[in-house]
Amino acid sequence: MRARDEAEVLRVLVEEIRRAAESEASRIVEEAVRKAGSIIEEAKREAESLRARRLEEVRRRVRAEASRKIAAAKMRLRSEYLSAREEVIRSLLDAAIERALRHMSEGSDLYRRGLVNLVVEAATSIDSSRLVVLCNERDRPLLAELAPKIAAEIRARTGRDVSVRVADETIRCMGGVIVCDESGRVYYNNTVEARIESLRRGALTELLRSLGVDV
Amino acid sequence: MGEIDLSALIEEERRAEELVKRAEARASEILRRARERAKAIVAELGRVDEEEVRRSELERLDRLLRELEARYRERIEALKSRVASRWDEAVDLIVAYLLGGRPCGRGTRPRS
Repeated sequence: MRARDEAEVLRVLVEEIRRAAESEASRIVEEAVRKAGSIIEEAKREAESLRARRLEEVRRRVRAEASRKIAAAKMRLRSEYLSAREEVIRSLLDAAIERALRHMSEGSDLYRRGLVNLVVEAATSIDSSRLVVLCNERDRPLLAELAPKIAAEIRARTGRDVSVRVADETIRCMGGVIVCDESGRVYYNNTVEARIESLRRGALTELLRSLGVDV
Repeated sequence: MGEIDLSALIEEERRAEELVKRAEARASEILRRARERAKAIVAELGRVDEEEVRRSELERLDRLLRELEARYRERIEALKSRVASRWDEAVDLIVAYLLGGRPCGRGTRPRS
């Protein structure tokens, strides 16, 4: 009975050693498989990141190489746009100048009223009671005729009593006036040319904006 | 009381040690192969065909430029169309301005 017990104990011990060894072996292999999986996953992530970095590097190099071409193309497009804009503005101005010239040469009502306005506008900016108006030869008789009306208009608008004299000398301009004080030092240029220049400097953009047209 | 025969036990322990050693060797081999595979993966997946990327990037930039060009053309057409739609009113307004409207220039002329 004792020998059988001893044999049984040994068998159990042997069995236990075997199970433990098998379990440990399995654990070691499973752990290695798990680590191998992690290594592969990590490698994939690293490869992805490396690829992204290399891609970006090549793209950056290409962009740097192409940047001059792109900048030149952008400049060309901007210049084409500005030329087109300039062309549109020039056409508008040409059409308007042509029509204005017709009014001026015909001495139309619009121009007669305009001349009064041009002188009054200039007069309100000059602090003098004696004003001299310079204009081209064509408009001189017209302004001489309008001078009393202009003085009345200035009085009506500003309350100032002002004498308006049309100068004997004339200026070369399409139309409009230069108004100055008697000394000739303070002046206000309201010739058509000055107004065209003012349009070119930005007033035209404002005028068009008032029509809801952005240029 | 007779002596216990431990030889079976000792033999089993030896086998157990061998089993664990084999497992360790296998594990080591698994990890070695994994590392090799990892290197291959990095080399393979991390590779970039520079010429292909360059070609595709240049194509992308060309496409962007063409789009930009189209946008500018649209802007120009829109500008022309906006002005054309109010042409007569705009000309009238400019004529009115030229023939007497807002102030545009004043100053002091030096004596000559």
